[in-house]
Amino acid sequence: MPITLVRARSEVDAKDRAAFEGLMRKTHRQAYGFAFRLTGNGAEAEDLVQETYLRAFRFFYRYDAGMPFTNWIYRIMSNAHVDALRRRSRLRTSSLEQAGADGSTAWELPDLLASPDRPMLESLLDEPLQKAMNGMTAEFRTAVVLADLEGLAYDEIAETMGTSVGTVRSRIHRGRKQLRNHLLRNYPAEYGGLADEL
Amino acid sequence: MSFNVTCKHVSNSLSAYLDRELAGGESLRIRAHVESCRACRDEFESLRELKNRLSSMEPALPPDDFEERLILAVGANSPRMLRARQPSSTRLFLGVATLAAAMTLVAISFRQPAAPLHRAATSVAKNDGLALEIEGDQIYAAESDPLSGGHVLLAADNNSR
Repeated sequence: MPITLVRARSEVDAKDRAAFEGLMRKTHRQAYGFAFRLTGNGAEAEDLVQETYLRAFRFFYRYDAGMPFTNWIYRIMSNAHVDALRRRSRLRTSSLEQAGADGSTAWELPDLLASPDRPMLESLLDEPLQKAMNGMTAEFRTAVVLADLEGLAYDEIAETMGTSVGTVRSRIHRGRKQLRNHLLRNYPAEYGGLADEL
Repeated sequence: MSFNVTCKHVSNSLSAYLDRELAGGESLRIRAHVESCRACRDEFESLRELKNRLSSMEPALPPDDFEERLILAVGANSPRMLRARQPSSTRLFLGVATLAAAMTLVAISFRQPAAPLHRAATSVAKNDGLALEIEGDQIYAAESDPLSGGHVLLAADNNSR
């Protein structure tokens, strides 16, 4: 008996293809900027953007035009980023650093010395702020980037991350404290102005 | 002012206060405390400075040819083709290989007329984002929902005998 796999409704209609391409051309720079802040380097940002739009294209029939397209892309990208981190955590051992006295969870600092793409990472991580962001817990980083770099309101971030406003509020606050404490510890000359209780 | 329960409550609300995400009454209470408490004021100023620095970061721009490569890769809905040797290519290969293996299994099972059909669903294979399942003479392929993280039906065999 022959087996025929039939594409279900996830297949995007041909008529939607042009509309999707138009949206992709309009939003891909912004998407790349968000991806770069999440991943910390251009190569991974490109992969993440591509994966995000591939998923978005497959599920375009579920896009609600009442939601800004970029917010929908951010939502898909947030999930794709978490998926990528989970895959990587199965492949690579990470160095861990306790976040400190603010009760937050351990940092996800990658072991750069053991990484095969170390030179590329080093050249891109010379910016202290980006390097500190790379060390944040993924959920905290996403919330802080959406709030401070993308300018989303808490309710929009909650919708994007599929969580409550209260959780967003907590993640942003703890994320900022992670960032600040990391900068103070590692770059006191440049970021000494952030010091308060330390 | 010493760091008491009030300061702790205020400290936990400072980011939301900074982002103007607090309701009017709570926002006024936080503001009154910050104005009278040196420790909380310093904490607030510290967070505000950090937010300013984050907001001032230059947007990261993609390479000039990225747009066309992206359109080509996504618009054609073809295998990942942006860059060579990227992890997602491996994932796609695994997905295709898994699908091929599952179809082979189904084909073999239908070549054995004496064997009864299994009506219960059997999970054939699963890897990142792709799950295959056989139920009777039907085969289903599902993948991760990009929004909820659950699985949605991608394809099904509807070829009746």
